[in-house]
Amino acid sequence: MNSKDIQYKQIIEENQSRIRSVSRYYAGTSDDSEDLYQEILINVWRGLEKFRGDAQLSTWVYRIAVNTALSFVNKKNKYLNFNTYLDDGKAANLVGDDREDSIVHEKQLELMSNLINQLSVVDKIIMSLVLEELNTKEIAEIVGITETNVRVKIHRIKEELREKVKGGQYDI
Amino acid sequence: MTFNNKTNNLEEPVNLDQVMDSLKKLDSRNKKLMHGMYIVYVVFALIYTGLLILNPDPELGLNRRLQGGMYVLIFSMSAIYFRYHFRKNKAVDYSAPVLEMLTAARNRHKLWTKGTVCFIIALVGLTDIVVTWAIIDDKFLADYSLIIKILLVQAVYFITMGISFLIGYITWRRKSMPLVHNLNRIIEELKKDEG
Repeated sequence: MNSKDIQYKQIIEENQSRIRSVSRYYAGTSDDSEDLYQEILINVWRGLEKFRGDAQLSTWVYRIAVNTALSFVNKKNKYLNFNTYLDDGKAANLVGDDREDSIVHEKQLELMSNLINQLSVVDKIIMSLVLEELNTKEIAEIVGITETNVRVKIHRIKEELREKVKGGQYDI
Repeated sequence: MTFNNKTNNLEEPVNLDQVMDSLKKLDSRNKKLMHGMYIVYVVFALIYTGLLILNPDPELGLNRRLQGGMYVLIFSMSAIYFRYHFRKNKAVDYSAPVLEMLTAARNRHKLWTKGTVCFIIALVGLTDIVVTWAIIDDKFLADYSLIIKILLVQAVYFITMGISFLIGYITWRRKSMPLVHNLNRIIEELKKDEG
């Protein structure tokens, strides 16, 4: 095993869950999700020689994952319209994780999922990173916009979601 | 490309050794393909050079040899240009920030770029010169005056070019234009709240 192999193995092992999350978020079926996951692995391999350490490793992996996901979505739909698939655990952060009433919880998730899918492509990208619990600096580095812009966008998206949830019943 | 250990269980860890093995094979296959294409271009250029310039046939006059040289030049220019574009398109930097990646994708799919316009003008101009020259030089259309010959060649040539461009434009409009519009919209939206 050469140094590239070792580095790659280490990166994938450390970031596997992040890559899985992005794959699930952008791809609908488990087959698509698996295909996307493998495309991300390929692009991480290809990008490894260019990694200069300017960004954090996790940020670098997220960039590759999100960019690959967008290209993947584009192959399926040239209008770049895609549905997001909320991870149960991550989405709980948006709707509050009171699991005592599973029916209410399920409805909340469904509602949140529908609302997020009504957002624009850009807002969905931002939300995918918010759901990963990344801070504004990291999101800004991944997306390539300023931190202020990220904060404004997150604030606006949350306001928009809040507006859409009837009577502000769910905490976001 | 899919790896052999594809599984429907998303939580199952992948066999990284197998993944890396597949990736190395893919890299090696791509390198061989690129090298193969390069060899094909070089061989074609050499065959053209042999046939049209170095051919010892005494009936092949200076004009014909110069025209042959221009064909070789046109062929080499096209080969280099397409090779450059193929490499550029293959080398998408997925590790760039999303905005940068989308902007690069938009630029790749645009109908016109400065480089493409310059290349097309050079290629069309050069081809026009050599085709006109070759036909004037030929016995074909011998009964017509020089001006008529030139005008006829230009008319046929530019109608052919026009049809080619129209087909290219329709293809671009159908395949790439919606993507370019969408990418423009997304890029604008990303920049919208910049302070």
